Amino acid sequence: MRKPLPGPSIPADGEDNARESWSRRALDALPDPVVVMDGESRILLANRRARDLLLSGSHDTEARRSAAESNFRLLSVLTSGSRPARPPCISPEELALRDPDDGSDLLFEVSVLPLHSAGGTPGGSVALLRDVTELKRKTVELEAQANRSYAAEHQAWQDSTRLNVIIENAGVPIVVTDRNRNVMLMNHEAEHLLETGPGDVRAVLPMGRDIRANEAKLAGFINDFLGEPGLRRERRLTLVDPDEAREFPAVAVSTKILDEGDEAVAVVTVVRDLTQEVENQHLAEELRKLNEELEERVGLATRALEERTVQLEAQRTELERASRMKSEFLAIMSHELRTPINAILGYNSLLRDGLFGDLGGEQSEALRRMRRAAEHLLSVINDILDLSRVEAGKMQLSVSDVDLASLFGELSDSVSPMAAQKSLAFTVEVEPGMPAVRTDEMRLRQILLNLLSNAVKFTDAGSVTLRASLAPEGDGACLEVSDTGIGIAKEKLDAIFEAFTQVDQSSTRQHGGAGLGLTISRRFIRVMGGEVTVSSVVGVGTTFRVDLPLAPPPLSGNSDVSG
Amino acid sequence: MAGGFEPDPPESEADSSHRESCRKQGKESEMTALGAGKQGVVLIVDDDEDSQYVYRVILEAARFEVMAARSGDQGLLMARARHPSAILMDVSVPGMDGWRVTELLKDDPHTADIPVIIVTAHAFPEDLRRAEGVGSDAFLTKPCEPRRVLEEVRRLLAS
Repeated sequence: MRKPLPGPSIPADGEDNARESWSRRALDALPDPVVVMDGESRILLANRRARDLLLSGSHDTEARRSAAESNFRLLSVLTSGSRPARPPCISPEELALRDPDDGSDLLFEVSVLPLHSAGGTPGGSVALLRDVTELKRKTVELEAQANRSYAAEHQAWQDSTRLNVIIENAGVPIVVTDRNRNVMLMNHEAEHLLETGPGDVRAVLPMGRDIRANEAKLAGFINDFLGEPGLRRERRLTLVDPDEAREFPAVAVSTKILDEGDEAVAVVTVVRDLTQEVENQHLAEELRKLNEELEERVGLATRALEERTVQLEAQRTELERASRMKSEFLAIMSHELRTPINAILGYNSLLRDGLFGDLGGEQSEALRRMRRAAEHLLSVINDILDLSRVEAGKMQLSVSDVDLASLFGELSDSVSPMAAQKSLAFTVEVEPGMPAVRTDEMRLRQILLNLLSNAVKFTDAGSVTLRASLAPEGDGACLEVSDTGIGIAKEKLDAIFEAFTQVDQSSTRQHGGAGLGLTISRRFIRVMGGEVTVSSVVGVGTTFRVDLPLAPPPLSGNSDVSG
Repeated sequence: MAGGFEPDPPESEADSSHRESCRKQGKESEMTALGAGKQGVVLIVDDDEDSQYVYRVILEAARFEVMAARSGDQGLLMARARHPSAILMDVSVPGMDGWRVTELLKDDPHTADIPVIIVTAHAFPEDLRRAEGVGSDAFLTKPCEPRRVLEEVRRLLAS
């Protein structure tokens, strides 16, 4: 079914032996194997190299036989008639065989050409094998080498790119010089700072000189560094900013790069602008100075304050001393005044009691008057001392629950006789259900007695009334002493609570008393948390009103005095 | 104010014999006067002559024997030596003050039973507190009626 292709014919038997012999010898001389096979894959003709590869004898080793057989089978696959025919001499197929001699791998390119019998019928083929083992090996090697160099090149490109990126983006001038001071690499910042190319307009401007100065300074530093031992060095330089033509402080830091022999092959120099740093230093210095100034001022203020404190302390001590002296003075005064009065009253008492003999009526009367005067003197002294003590902060309260009804009863006992003497009506009114008042009973009694005495004293006709009621808010007591006496003029109402004031100085003689009672009363009432007020109409009468809280304020003095 | 004060035991034989022994030692006060001894011995510690005299007169009239000291130290010595029935103590006296003398007497078991009446011209509440603090039995402020002093002495000796 296959259409036979044109090709060489198998020589017919009985041809010229000599020619055949030459043919064989020629074939054997070929370095590449040549095999002719019939349609059944039987070898008809094989040159020396082909025989070596494909044939073996019983005398051969097992390995050789096995290799040869394997080679033959592999080749047969290509040449067998079952394979689809292919155009000759195109796309030779690669065939991997084994060298029967040493077992090494061999690679061949196999070209199979179909043969036609003398009658023109196809059958058999000629296979030309070309040993490409070495060629293939070299090709692979070359490819690998090419790959390696490509990879290396790529890596190098990547490295240098990365380095360039780093250097360009470092933001500070970086210069790399070789051992001969030639610039190998320079980033944009370094160029800006150092280089004046032929096309650089800056070179012709005045600042060009400065840029050259920058370069000279840096070159000088690197030059010195290369001439010295040590791998790293830095130097402070004053460089010029090419843009602003102003000087700025900088530091150049150079590092040597060594080869295997520890010889410097390059120097990397980084220039750092110290402007900000120096400014910061200036700022820090200014701040430090400012702090010092501030501290000094604070110190001065503190000293002033301390002095003031000492002054105040001295003042306080002085005030305390004055207060103490006042208290001591009061105590001494009290003692010194009471002692002679004690003698006066004592002798008076002894005389009146007849211990120094019997007395006539006039003598007794004189003693009685003397006694009354002494007692009045004593009460004046007591008033003065009490007032002084209140003013010296020595006032003390003895607080208890005071039943007003019973207190008023006691007062009535004292006042009624005085009122009766002047034919005055004396009435006491206590609101029903009046609660007890927590206050200093002795002081309250003194105060009310003083008010009642005054009321009787200044009333010639009518009545004196003592009244107690609950304050409208229910938290205090309202005590009133009213009379129908001479009254007090409006303009004098304010003055009656002031020390040593009586409504009419002449009345002191008429009515007695130093006028201290009201003053002391008001002080006492205020210490007890209350207030005393007065209302009066001349010729009609006067009402003194004492408002007291049901309980004293917490800071109203001591309450541990038992009377 | 004297409600809390300890009652004083009436004069005992021991007191009398003590006084006798003091007499023998020649420590009898030269101020001993009329009608002495019947009611007991009162020591007045006071440097004010008038006070001393006024209270002596009323006490002697009431048949008390009266001794007097013008200073605290003297008063302390006399109280210890004579063990009086009662003491009228002024506090502002030369030397050791009356407060201290009272305190020492009340701290001493031999004299703690003697009633001490503070009679002083110091009339402030703090003085009363102090009188209680030193252990006195009564507190009277000058001016104080002679009669009142006598009453207080009698009260303390009776109780």
